[in-house]
Order: sequence, then C-alpha cells, then structure tokens
Amino acid sequence: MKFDMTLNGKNISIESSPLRRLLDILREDLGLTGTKEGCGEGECGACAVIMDGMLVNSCMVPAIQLPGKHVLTIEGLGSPEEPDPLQRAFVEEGAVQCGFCTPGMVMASRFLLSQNNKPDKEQIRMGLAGNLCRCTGYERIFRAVERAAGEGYGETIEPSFFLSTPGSFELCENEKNRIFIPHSTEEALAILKTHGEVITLLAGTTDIMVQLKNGRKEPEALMDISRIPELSSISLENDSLQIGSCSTYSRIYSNPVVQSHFPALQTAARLNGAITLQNRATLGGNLMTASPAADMPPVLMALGAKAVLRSTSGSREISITELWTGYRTTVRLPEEILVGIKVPIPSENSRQIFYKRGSRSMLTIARVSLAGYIEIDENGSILEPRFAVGTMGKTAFMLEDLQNFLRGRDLTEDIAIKAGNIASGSVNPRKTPEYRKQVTGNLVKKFLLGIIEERNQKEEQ
Amino acid sequence: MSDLKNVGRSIRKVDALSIATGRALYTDDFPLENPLSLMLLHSPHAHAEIIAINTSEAELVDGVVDILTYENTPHTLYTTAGQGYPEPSPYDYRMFDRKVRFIGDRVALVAAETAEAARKALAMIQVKYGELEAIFDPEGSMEPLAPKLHGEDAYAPLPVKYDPLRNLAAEVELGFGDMAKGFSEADLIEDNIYHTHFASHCAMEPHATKAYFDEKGRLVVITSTQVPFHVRRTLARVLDIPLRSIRVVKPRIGGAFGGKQEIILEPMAAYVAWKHKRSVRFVLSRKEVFTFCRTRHPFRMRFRTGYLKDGTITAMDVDALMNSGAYGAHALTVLSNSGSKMLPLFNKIENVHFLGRTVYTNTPVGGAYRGYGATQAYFGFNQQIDIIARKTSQDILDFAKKWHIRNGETSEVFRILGEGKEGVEQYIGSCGLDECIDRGAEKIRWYERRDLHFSPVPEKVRGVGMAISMQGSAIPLIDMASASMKMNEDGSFNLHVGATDLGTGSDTVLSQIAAEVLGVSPEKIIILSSDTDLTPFDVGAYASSTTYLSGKAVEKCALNVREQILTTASQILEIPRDELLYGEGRISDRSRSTEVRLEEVCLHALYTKDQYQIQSCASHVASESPPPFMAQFAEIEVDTQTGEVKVIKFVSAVDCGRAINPRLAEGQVEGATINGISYALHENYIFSDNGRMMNDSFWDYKIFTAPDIPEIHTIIVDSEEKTGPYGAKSVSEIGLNGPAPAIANAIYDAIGVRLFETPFTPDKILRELKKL
Repeated sequence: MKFDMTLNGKNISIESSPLRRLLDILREDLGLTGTKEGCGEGECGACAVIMDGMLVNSCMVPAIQLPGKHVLTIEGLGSPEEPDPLQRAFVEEGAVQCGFCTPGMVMASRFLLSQNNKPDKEQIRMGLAGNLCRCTGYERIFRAVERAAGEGYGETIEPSFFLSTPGSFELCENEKNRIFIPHSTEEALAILKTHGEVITLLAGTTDIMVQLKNGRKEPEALMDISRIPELSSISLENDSLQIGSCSTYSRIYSNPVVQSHFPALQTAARLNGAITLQNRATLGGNLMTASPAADMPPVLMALGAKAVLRSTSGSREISITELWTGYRTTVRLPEEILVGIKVPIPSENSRQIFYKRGSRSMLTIARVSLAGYIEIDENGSILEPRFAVGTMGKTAFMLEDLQNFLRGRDLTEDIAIKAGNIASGSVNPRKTPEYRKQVTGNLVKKFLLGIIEERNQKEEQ
Repeated sequence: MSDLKNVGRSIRKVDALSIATGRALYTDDFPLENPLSLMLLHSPHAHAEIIAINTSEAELVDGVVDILTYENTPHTLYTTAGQGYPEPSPYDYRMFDRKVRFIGDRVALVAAETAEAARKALAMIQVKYGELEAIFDPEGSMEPLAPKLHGEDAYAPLPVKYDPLRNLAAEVELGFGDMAKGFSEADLIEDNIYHTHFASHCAMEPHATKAYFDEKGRLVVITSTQVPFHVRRTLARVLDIPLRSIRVVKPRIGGAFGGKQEIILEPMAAYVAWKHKRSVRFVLSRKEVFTFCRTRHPFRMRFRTGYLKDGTITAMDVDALMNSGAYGAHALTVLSNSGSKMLPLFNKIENVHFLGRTVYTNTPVGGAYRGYGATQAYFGFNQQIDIIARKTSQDILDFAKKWHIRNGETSEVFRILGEGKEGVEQYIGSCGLDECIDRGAEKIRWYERRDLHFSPVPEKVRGVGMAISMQGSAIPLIDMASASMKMNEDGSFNLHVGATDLGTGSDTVLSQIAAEVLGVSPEKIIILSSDTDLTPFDVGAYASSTTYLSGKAVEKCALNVREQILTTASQILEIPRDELLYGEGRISDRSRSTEVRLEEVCLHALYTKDQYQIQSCASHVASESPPPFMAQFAEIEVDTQTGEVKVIKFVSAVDCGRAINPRLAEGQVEGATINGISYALHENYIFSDNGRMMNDSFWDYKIFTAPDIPEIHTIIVDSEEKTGPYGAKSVSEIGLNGPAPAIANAIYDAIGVRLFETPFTPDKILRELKKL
C-alpha cells in the first residue's frame, strides 16, 4: 500500500506491505536507526516513538495504521550539535550508559512530561515502566527527567492530540480484496458480511505483531477497526457505562466516570503492561483473544457487565460470563463485531477490588488475578457478591461457592476468614497450586477485612 | 593528589551526546549493501544425533543462497569463550555438529536475500533426529551410567583436568592447613548447601554481527563483542583464513555484562561472507538470546565451616558443583573464580579446602556473567557467616571485620589458584572494607533496624541484612592492554586503545587519564577503541580489567608522549628539560616567564626542525590483581500473606581505589546492584520436563523495571591503589555479589526464614513460613 504520513514534522510518502512494522520502516526504509529493537515484542521500549502525541512501541504498529499519522522519533528532537534540552539532561545527569535504551527512554520521558509537567518520583517511575534498562539501575534516568522537568521542558511541548483525519492511502491490486480500513461500524459490518470468515480484525495489534514476529502466517484478510469513532467512545447511558471495544486502556483509566465509579476497572487498566501498551491495547482485544490470563474478564464479570455484539442483521446483548466458550474461543460469529460492553453503575453501598499478583514483579506462572464486588444493605448483610478469578483455568471464572456462602450473611471477621478458606478451595490451578490457592484466599480475606475496617473507622467517627 | 584536573571528576561521558540524540551507531545500525540475512534453525531436542538433514526443498525457496549444516562447514574444534591464548576453556564446539546437546542448540543456518525467504526456508529444512537420553541434573551428570555429551575428540588446550567421558568439564582443588585438625578442634560445624540459578544477561542490544568486504577484498566484521582481538584470532583459526585478511570492528555496544565475551555469531557470519563474497547481517531475536546464548552458571555449593563457641573459624571446606550446560565456555575459570575471589576474603582461616567440579548437562550453556563465579560463591559465603555470627551471638559487622583480609596481608589462595594455572602471590595494598561496612551500616540505620522485626502494618515485617565481597582487577600476568597516541597541531591527541567500551564508559575514563597526564581538557583527547586494524591489542573488556589495566597502558603511553613534548619544548625554549614546568596546555620555565603552548610544540615538531611525529605506544601487564571491596546492605519487607519480598532500601559501599570518574563508577555499582536484586527476587529460567526454557521473553522473564527500583544509595570509599592508574582499582562486577545474600540475610532477620536457594519467589517464602 501507498500512503502519506508526517515524520518528524515532514510529510513523507511511504510504500509498504500492510503489516510491515513502523520500526522496520524507520530503520530500514528511511535509515533512521536511532529507534532500536530490543525484543520486538513490545516489552522493552527501545523502539518507543511518539505517534499522534501518544507513546507507542514502533514494533507494535503495522503500516496499515500509519496513513495520516504524525510520528516523532529521537532524530526529530535534536542533534549532537543542537541537542534537545531533554537529551541534554540525559547527558548531564549520567543517564546514558550503553545507550541502547536511551532513545526510547528519552521518548517515554518526553511523553510523560507532555502529560504531566511536574511529575513526582512515583509518576516518573510509572511513566518509564515500559522501558527496560539493564545498565544504569534507572536512578540517573529519574534524575534526568527531574532535571528536564525543573527546566520547564514539559511546558514547551504542544499538548497531545488525537488525529481525526482519516489519512489517504492507496492499495495495490493484490491488496484490494483483503485489506480493509473502514471508518464506520456500518461499513465494517458490511465488509464482515461478505468476508467475515477469513478476516482478522486489528485494533491495538499488541498480540498479532508478536505472533507475526514469532512466525505466525500473515492472515488472509485484514480489517483495521481502530479508525471507527463509535468503537472508541466511552459514554454514560441509562445508569450504565458503555465502553467501545476499541477504547485503549489509557483512555479507560483516564475516563472520569471510570475513575469515580469503577476503581477496580481503573486498577486493571493501569496494571496492564506499561504506558506504551496501555496506549495501544484495547478492551475488545483483551476480551476477544480470550486468554485466561487477561485482566479484563474477571473485572467485568465481577462488575456484572454485558457484551454487545452487532452484525448487519442486528445487535445482541449477552452477559459477559457467556462471552467465552473455552480456551481462546468466543461466541462471536464471523459476521459480528464486539461493539463494546455495558457496565451498570454500582450502588453507593458497594465495594469493588481488583488484585493482581505477579504481574510485573514475579514470574508469570505464579500469577493470581482476582476481582471482587459486594453490596451491603443498611443492616450490614451482603447482597450481590460477585468474585471472579483469572489465570487459573481455561477461561476466567466466577467463584460460585464463595458467592453462595456470602450472599445474605452479615459481614464479620469470622465470615471474612471463612470466605478466604472457601475461595482457596474453589480454585485448582495446574501450576504452583498450593501458592496460588493460598494467595487467592488471602486476597479475598484482605478485601473483606478491609471493608470491615473501613466500617469500624466510620463508626468510631 | 588534590591538584588533579581531570581524574576524579564526573565529566560527561564522551559518547553520551551522540547516543542521546540517536546518532551513535550500534552493529545493526551500519548500512550494508544488499546483505544476506542469516537465520538459525535450533534444536527441538535436548540431546540427539542428527541422523539425516535434508535441505533440498529449502534451497529451492526463492532468495535462498546457502544453507549451512555440519555437512558443509569446517569441523575445527574451538571454544566460544573469548579468552586469552591458549584458551582455558575446553575445545568442545564446532560451527555445526551432528549432535545437538540442548534445546536451542544450532542445527543449520540459512543465508537468504531477505529475512522472509530465510524464515520460509527454515521451516522447510527436514531433520531426522535420533533422540538420546538427556541429563539435566548436574548432581547426576558424573554417574557412570549418565548420558555423555561429548566424545573423545573434545580436549582442553591447556594442561588442566578435563574428562569429557565423565561429563567433567573442569576440576579445581586446593587446600592448605590440616582439615582433620581444624574440624576436630571445632565446637560446632555449620554445614549447608546453597543453590544459585540460571540467569540471562539481558543486554538491551541482542547479539548482532555484520560482515562485508572492503575495496581491498579484506573481510570486515562489525560485531557486538567484548573481545574483538579474540574474535579475529578465533575466526582465522576456525575458518582457516589468514588473520591479516580479517578486520574486526567494535562499534557502540548495547550492553554485554559477559554475554558478549563469547564468539557465537561471528564464525557463521564470517564463513558465509567469505564463501559467497557477500555482505551479511546476523541479528538474534530476544528469544534466541535467552535460549541459544549464554547464561549465568548455576552452582550447588556446600559449605562446611568448623568454629569455636567464640566464633573462631577453625576450618572451611567448600564443595562446588557448577553446571556448565551443554558446552564448556568458561567452565574452568568461572569455577576457579568461585574459590579464588571468595576464599581470600577471610584469609585468617588456617585450614581451608576447596573442591570444585564443572559438569556438562543438556541445558543452556553457561558463560561469563558479571561477577563470574564470585556472585554464586558469595551467596553461600555471606549466609554462612550470618548464621555463625548469630549462633555465636555476634554482630555480623564485627564478625566480618575480625576476619576479613587487610592492608599488607596476603592469602595462600592468591598463590595457589590462578586461571588455568597457578596463581600469583600478592599482598593487599589497599583495603577500605571497614569503612565500607561502617558507612553502609550508618546509611541503612543498621543498629536501629537489626533484630527488631519492625512491622509497619500487621501482615508486613521488615528486616536488614548485609553481605561483603571482593573481586579482582584483571588477571595478573595474563591480561595485557595497550594504547597508542599521536599529537596534532591543535594540541589534540588521537588515542587508540584496544580496550572495549561496552557502554560502561571506559572511553571516557581512559580519555580522562590521558588528559590528566598531558595537561589538557578531555575534549582534546580523540579516542578510538577496538578496531583490530587501527588500535593496538587489548584482551578486551572482562575480568574487571579496563580501568586498571588499559588505564595503566594509557597512562604509560601518555607519559611517553609527555616526555617527547618536554624534549621538543626544551629545544624551542632553549631551556634544559629538567628546568621546565608542564602546565595546563603549555610548557614554561620555572618562573613561568617564558612558555610555549602545546599547539606550538606540535607545529614545531611536525614542520620546523628535526621534524618528527610526537607519538608513542605502551603496553601493560599487571603483576597482581588488587581486589576492590564492598559491603552491601538491604532493608526488606516481607508480606506474610502473599510471600512477596520488597526491597525498601539498598546501600552499596565500595572501595574501588580512586574513582577516575565517580559518577560513572556509581553508575556501574547501581547497575550491578539492581541486576543483583532482580536476580535475587525475580529472574530465573523455568524449564519444561524435557529441558525447554518456558519463559523466553521479557514478558515472562522479569527484569527490574523503573517502578521496581527501591531507594538505593551508593557510597564510594576512597582508597589509593599504588599499582593502578592514579590509584584506581576495578568497580564493574563487584556490585552483583552482595544483593542475593544481603537480601537472604535480611529475610531471615525479618521472619526467621533461611533461604538456601535463589530466587526468593513468593511461593518459596510462603512454603517456608508454613514450616515455622
């Protein structure tokens, strides 16, 4: 395909196959080798660039999504003769050792400062969470960011923006019947009606780009649904929050309604990978890859969400618990799109939680994710307990025994401890079972005891 | 020495600006014209014979130029370990082999016009394997009935113990005193077995090699290596082509940590290039770096320590078993180091015995890794002394101070144990360990934290722990470094060094040393490192040698140049040489009334009278290996509900002699420390039952990220090492030795759980807590 885009402030024309990585276009086609490849799997951040104001890993961005985009690379900031103040801060603070991570680190720092002029230490750490460095121990990189922030670097960056321009492109003859870039849901559904059986849907591309790198065959036909405004919208309607399936994690956790009513969802979105991933990965992608290790399924199950699927023949709403049929399989028909999900606004007397252990800091086989939701009536008894776990079966699942035990009971310390034991007994993971059973129970207990403590504190006041 | 102008200052890294602006070129950044893409086929079996390999279909793929297998490549035996000559590691490796010895081992290589063609062809190579029984457990490797990995042809080029027919890749034994007496005198014996695990270096730049032919038909190899001169020597030997036809260039390196002290890609890349007279590009994927490249050798170490009730140690017996994996890269020297870098630290123990064995197994291959055996050894050592100190009611700080080696002292071990031969006797000329212990203890608030089980919230408990260690500075009487230098008309100097900057900052440190000698600012030093055509020899960047060894070569070289400058200045000023003062950028008489600037000296030498080029070269071999010393302290918090261990604060206090560039020295300590903490808590190779590494990506192999970093403090304790350049010793490796034992000791301090096996994962902590 042929298309135009803006690179480091200049308009350029690109000719590329649709799934070629932005990273390869930069390094091989354009000779901009400042952007590095450390893993090709979106885990190290060495290839991070800023696209339409957002930090992304260029190994995760296929050419099909580039028409009309604005991309900024390390070379677009400054040169050795005239370095950008942020680059200079890295030099002055000794934040550069081998330097292979430095270009990505600089871009991540710039994105952070564009969002937050004066980040504190914790915000700097989180902002750089997706950029690995093995040489420095990070400390000097933090200082470089602090120095640039102190010099007012963030204020000099234009606010980030989302491009709404569609971006023109031209397909080659052999791409015309297999590459689709619709701009409305209707257009997409019409395409799916005829090509649904062979089409692979693309949005955040955080999974497929890794699979292609690891030898997966290119899909027969592709449809990029990331440019459909409806699918990226988040809106409040009739006491439920509707989240479009192409909403990225960063848009979800920065949404005010999510922040005020869905702390568990916000936590799950924030804990999912680093900024570069959160800026790309979508809710729909997380649900439809149907991975048992995905974070969103247990959270949405606990929150009582519904999934909305649509085809040219109409829409259907199903409970989120019915979306998956097994390991990496769903009920979606080939002609359907997951438009989004609906989550009821929780009652004021409810509490919710999402815990993840082993995400960043530990080996993934010892991973535990747990989402919990309970409502308590004025007499102190429990209504609507919903608990779901991920990573411990073919799909995420609800802890029915625990829910039955808690429903209608008064929440006491004794009940919390018993609930923990029931939760432990309700899971049976294949790997490291003893540890994960124990931790599941401990987390349920911790959630319930926390509610009791909160109540006690209120009573004291 | 307070009048130093360049040394001791934290100047900017000389290559930092080009790196930070994305202009610096790493191996894969060099443009080549139509290079062939090289891609490897890896073994799916841990141990198998290749019965048949059929490449005919794969060869038909459009764009495929060649497919290499054991059938069409040189059979020369060599070692991938990039070490001195003859190598101390066994020759047990060929470019390709008819036998595969671990999952990930090389089977064939496709050279194609494009990466897509290469990938496609890889899938079409048909290999018939005859599976062999595999051995994964090093404990059983030497059993008579255990499967053998290597045949009779593998051999050790040095006269050392090597017996492939018993899977024995190396053996080291030493002892002095009387063990029987030592143990019989003991009131108590502390006998424990410690295990350390596999780890990957995780340099951010994956291994990469490019090769092309210059206009004279010589082969130019650009490669991400720590050892360019060893690469050239090995290529000439393995490929049987004249050494003079090969030029090895080291560009910017994206980290190495020992992982690139290996000659893995270069022979294959150079062979394809040479055979087809084509340029080639060979870059590994991250998965290949994890599974096919090198790891930290896992160790099982048994310590038996006899001691009196007052804590007097009467005997120390160490039995080390090192897992070399499928090949013997660094099999002897990492093993030796686990004794020679640890035992001298407590030099007052009179009865000592060390037996070390390295064995082959069908697991990924061990290699050099920052710390190089010392890291593995100190894990057990520091817990052992923590245990004994506690059992004899002493503070470990006092106990360590009582027993550690001091200025003017020596250890039998220095003399007995070298690398592949006897060691070199040496007396410690600088030791600031007491000060490291005291200042580190103060920073961690040792006496306000130890033994208190402080609990900020009910389920969390805190504790503190400490570990000490020493390393070396280069390998004495073996490692050599050299430098050459010439002067230019503007008073600048070209400095050419064989030393290999891996991102550590050695180009900067060496420039500072040259600038100091020559009385100029570091910008006047134009450094070029590691190009076998242009720079003189250096063994390369390993064994913590660059600052100490290459720095001394630079100092000597610069002193020669300085002498020539003075001689010429004496002619210009017509003042006797001995009456001249060498100042900043100028030479004057003692009263500073007449002077000549450096630029004028060079102009005079080049153009005026008795013309000559002011230039020199120098080499340096060290007759000893002065150890840096370190005390490291951890404050940790254990969550007794989830088993998670969080490091709250970590302090590293190091005596590295004079730090030539304190900020770079601190950077080395910080990087090593974080690597060590990450190793202690997270990193590990997880294997399937048939020996496949299951977590071969950064997604599943977790290294520390920015949010994981605890509060860290680095303290540089001044000392003066007379044999080093401007008093410097080494600093790059030692920081990795302390984190695992310091954290283990801190966990014990917090919850009374003793962990004899790394890493300290939550499941282990919960399991141990249940036993209490």
